Amino acid sequence: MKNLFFKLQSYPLAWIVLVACLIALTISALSPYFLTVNNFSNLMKQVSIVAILAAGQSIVIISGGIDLSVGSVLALTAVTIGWLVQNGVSPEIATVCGVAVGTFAGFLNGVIIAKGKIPPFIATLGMLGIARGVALVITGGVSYQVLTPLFLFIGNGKLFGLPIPIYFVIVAYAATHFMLSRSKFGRHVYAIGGDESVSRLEGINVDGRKIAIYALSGFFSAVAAVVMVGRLASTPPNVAFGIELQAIAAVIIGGISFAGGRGIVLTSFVGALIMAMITNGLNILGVSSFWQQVLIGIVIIAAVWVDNIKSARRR
Amino acid sequence: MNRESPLENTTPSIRLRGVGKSFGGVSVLRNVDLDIPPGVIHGLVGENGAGKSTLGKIIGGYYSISEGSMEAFGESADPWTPKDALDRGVAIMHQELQLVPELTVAENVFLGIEDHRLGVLSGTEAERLMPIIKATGFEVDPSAKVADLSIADRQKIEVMRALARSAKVIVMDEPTSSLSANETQKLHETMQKLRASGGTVVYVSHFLDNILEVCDSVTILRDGDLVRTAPRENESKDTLVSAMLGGGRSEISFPEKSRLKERRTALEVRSLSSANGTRDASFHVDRGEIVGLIGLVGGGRTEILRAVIGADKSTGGDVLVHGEPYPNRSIAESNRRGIVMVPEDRRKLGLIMTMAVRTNLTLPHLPSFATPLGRILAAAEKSKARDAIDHFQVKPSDVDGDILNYSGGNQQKVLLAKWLLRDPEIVILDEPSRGVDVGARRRIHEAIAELASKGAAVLLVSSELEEVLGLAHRAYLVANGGVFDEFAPEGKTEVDVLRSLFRLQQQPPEARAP
Repeated sequence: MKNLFFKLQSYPLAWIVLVACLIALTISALSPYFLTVNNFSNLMKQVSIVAILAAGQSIVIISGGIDLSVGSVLALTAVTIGWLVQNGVSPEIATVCGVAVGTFAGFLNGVIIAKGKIPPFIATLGMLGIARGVALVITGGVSYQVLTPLFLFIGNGKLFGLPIPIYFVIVAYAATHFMLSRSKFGRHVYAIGGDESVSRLEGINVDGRKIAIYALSGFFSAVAAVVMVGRLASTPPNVAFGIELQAIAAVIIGGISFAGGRGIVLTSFVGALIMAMITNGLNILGVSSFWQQVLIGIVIIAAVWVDNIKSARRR
Repeated sequence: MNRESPLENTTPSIRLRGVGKSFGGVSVLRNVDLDIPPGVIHGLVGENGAGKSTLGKIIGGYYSISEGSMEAFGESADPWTPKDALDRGVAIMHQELQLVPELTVAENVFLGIEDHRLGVLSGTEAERLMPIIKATGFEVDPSAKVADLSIADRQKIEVMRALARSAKVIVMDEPTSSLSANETQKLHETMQKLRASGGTVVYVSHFLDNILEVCDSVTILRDGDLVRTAPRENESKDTLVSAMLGGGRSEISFPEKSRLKERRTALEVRSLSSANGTRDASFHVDRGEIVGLIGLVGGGRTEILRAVIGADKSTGGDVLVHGEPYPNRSIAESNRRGIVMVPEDRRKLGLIMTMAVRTNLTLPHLPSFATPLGRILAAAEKSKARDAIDHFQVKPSDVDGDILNYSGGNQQKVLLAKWLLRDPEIVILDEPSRGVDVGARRRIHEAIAELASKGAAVLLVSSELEEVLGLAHRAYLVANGGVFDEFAPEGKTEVDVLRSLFRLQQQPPEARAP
């Protein structure tokens, strides 16, 4: 058993999938409603937004940074879409504009971090306030209805029996995984996270890469916003408040090193799934939501603890 | 040292028995026995990497010992952290000064031992400093902010800081490297005052004249071994230098030096200066030639290399590559032009320790393994990495091995292989064989000679004189950021070179004609 545990250290994805399966089995042993098609479809819809944010967050964390602004950028994108639709712009064009705004906010994060030499925690903490504030200013605090066919389809439609948000998640993770494991850009992300000063000596354009990394995180926030608008059919400016912490937690639970330079993006999806399963499972079992928070907190700490034990073995 | 007199207190201030130290499996200090009596100034000398700084830091509590035992004032020094050392009266003054720049001189001196009432500071530091300033004769303003002071002034603060803690033993690690002759004289007077009041100074220095001027006894180290400890009267500059180099050092054979028929200058550096200390450096390297830069640690060798390749901005002078001026240098542009630098300190500057062997090897060369859109061609990358691993005999030879788990020698091979992957025309090597075993070193030397025989221009910096003399066709001496005294290594001994080097280092930069 002990041997198996240490063998799994070289397969982080297998390890976290195993943990997720154990949690799923435990909950389904306690409640017959958990492992049903209906509940599973529900679970995937619940997990989709955090999962998309976690994909972008993974890139940032592997590069040695952090992005606290994803929830606010999501909200800014959503109200941009809502405001444009409200003012007679077609939903498709409004979506493109909204995604552009979200990506631009991320780009600004990158410029502030790379060129202004502001630590990512501070820069994105600032953007967390700015983006949310702008969202409130645009709307004056009002939520717009967006009952258009496009958003109703994204929120409630199905394709081959699966809810549409799942396809967003699949594309986000497939693209990110390919980028990180097979592209020059991805290799540079790992290099910068592993050692920034060595990366500079390799001739890597570290500043340019950082700007791209945070712009990408903004883009993922904007994509998550499109799914969010679809699910809510409206754009409240206080949407997704505090969701950045869930996205970061998903990355950490999945096992990506907070120190940067290591990790596989697919584990972040499993991390998000584990959090959603715990919430969903405890709801089915009738456990109070207050206790759910306690449990998720414990899971976060335990995940890093186990990771430390594994990496201590590595040295 | 059997000079015990019944009249003196015979308990040594510091006693080391069989002390050894290793870093990550590489032994840097072995079986050192040393007694330092109270009331003396004791010198520690040796070549770069001989272990003198390490020994100083062990006494000061900054390094724990790997083997053997240590006593301070007759009691076991275990545990021995910097705080333990300070509590027991042993202070250390670092090569890299450790002061808080935003606090004043007086606040820094009394940092951690301030007068206070229930945690509220009394603000008496400036008054308390006055006796120390009087005793040392240092001219510093107690209320000046440390950030505004020169390095020399900061060094004085370190001395006062040790005195304020009534240290009985003060370890000074290269304290005079940035002091003027006048200030050095002042520091020596301070040492003598300390000795007169019963204190002990452990004086680690490259400057043999300084050691001979002020020390009572000297310990000479070579390659981590203690050669001898002797009273100062028994030593001269010549005896010190020959002991530091050692007579019967095992002869390592070097690959043969080949020459290209046609001599063409590949790299020419004219009056190069940079903000971080390169001063008016001029030299050139031909195709197929290995040229050494020889200097002491802190002499500005690495800084010259960084200015040449474009890692640091230059403030004057020109670099010509194959006769063409190369302005606005950057690392990325240098790599494109076939100029690479293998940096020293593979862990901090050379390799990305979180990555695998393959990804480290190809990192600076990704454009040649990627489509224009940036997709990496995995098969091409893998086969190139395979070739490099086989060529350098990296072990284990796994392409996707975790670089963290490799030995120092094999990491160093990977570092070299990385920069030589695409047959560069100009190669700058900074300490290419530091901290590696004999086998790896031989393979590295062969690779360097081979590189030159194929027509590359090689600029080599190494603290190991033997290596430079054995590999290089020509060499220059480097001191205080400048390049001097071109010579051919044939017929030169390490003693000759080291003598001229100590002579250069001793002169203030302005008094020396290039």
